[in-house]
Amino acid sequence: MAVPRVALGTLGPLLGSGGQAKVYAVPSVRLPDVAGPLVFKHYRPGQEPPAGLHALVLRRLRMDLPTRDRLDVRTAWPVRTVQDGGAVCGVLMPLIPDDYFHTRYLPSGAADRSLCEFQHLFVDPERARRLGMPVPGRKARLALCRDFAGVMHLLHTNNFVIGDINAKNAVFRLNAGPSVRLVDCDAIRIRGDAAVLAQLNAPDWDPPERTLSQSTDLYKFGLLVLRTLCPGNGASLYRDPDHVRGVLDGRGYRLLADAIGASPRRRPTARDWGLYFTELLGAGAPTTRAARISAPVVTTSGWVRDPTTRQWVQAGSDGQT
Amino acid sequence: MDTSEQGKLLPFYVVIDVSYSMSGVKLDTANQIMPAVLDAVAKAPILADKVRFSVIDFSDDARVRLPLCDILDDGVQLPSLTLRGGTSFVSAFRLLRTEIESNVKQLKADGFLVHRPAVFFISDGVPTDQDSAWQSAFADLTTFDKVSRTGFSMYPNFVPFGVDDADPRTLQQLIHPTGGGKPMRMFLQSKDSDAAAAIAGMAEVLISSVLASGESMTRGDSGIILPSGDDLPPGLSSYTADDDFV
Repeated sequence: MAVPRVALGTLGPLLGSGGQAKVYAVPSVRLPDVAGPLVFKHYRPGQEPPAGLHALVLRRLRMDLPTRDRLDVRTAWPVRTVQDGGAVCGVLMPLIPDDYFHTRYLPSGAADRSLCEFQHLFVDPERARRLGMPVPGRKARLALCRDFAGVMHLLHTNNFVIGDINAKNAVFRLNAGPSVRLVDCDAIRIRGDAAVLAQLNAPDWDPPERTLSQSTDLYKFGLLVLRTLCPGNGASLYRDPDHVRGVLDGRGYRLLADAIGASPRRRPTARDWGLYFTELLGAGAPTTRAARISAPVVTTSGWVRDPTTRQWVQAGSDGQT
Repeated sequence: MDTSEQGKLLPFYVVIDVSYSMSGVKLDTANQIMPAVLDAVAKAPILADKVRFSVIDFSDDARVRLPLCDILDDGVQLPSLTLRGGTSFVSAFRLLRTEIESNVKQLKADGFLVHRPAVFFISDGVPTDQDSAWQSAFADLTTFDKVSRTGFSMYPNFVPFGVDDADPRTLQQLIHPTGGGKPMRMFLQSKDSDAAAAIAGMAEVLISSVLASGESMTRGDSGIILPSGDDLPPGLSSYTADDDFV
């Protein structure tokens, strides 16, 4: 199921660039089993994964249709490998839909279209608002955590290990109901197989165990829940479950303490988390801490510095939009 | 596993020559460095849990224009640089030493761990001080003997940038450290480039160092990571302490 590099035709615009790869639009390529447009992730020389990426592609193609559809909606899965001269040089993945992006003004006044990475949820809400990023309230944050648990449940029950859950590998949208999409899925591993790409820990996401498994996914998910529900300066480094006292009830606190505890066997499963968040969202119990982050979902057009007064002003209030 | 929530901060000091020779487009471009850094951090806002910035300008004297801070903080006002006088490296090095010493002490008192600070030093000319004077001030800033514990224990990693009339052999002496596990480098305006493009390139090098350092920082690491030669922006060339300029 490999596509020759030449079959991609003329590449579209460069959409992103990182240390491992560059990502291009490929407007002329469509696949019968993928609903929307595709992108080409072209690995930099020396960064190509060893043979084995095919297995992730094949797993998807062998899924029953409802499961494959759920996977496609919730992940940027490698749907085909791309070969050049007989070697894998990249992968095709579904384009991340527009509603996972947010258009805003940066502090300099420059317009910017940013992916709504989870890191923006960890930032102090006042700061995130000032920087022009969406600021969900408590309920939407809980719904994002529930949706993430759903994605993880889908992957874990299909025998995958996510590996590198971090502040940038998951993106969110709020308009179509809070939902989560995993990106950089080429580092996902099939349970029982070696990793296609080396599975790594991002700084500040390292689990107690050295080897990554579904258990370390559950640990990292615990950190993600902690940091998403307790945003603030320094939250991207949080490890202490005590921060969620007042945000979650006693049961939630115990789930979190077990999730980011040292014992892999005590960690709640994705399903445990999903059931808990569903119940909590049904009850909708407000808390003291929630008052601080319970603002409705607000998006601003961003803030810029007034060149004369040097004060922050909302972009657009002086005709800059 | 590092389970501490205590942030380990990497302080960046951006030190900019504002002698009269920096007039015109060079100063204009230098004034765009910090807004570009601010935008980059706004796009990766959890970096604010890891990095701090200060801006110092220097001429006959040196002044702190942005005290070390979390650049995303509400109260931050980015400085606008203006020209004055000559090019005293001595004043810059002395002020850097006192600032680093008091800033690092302050951060530690506030409960943070601190990476070795990084200095990005931008100049377009030769120092107006005596050679022996600036060399001595630089030694005070960067020399530390681990055995006798003498010198300046908080010495920074020092990365010089030169444009226009900057003397490569002078700036090369400011690379620090020159050896060890993570030697620093110097960046110069390429021969076929203009000074404004080179200064814009410096902002890119600074931003890419900030981003890469934030990605890789773990406790025990010395923090700063400079971009590799392949990833250098146009207008700049990179040199080690051993490169020859004869």
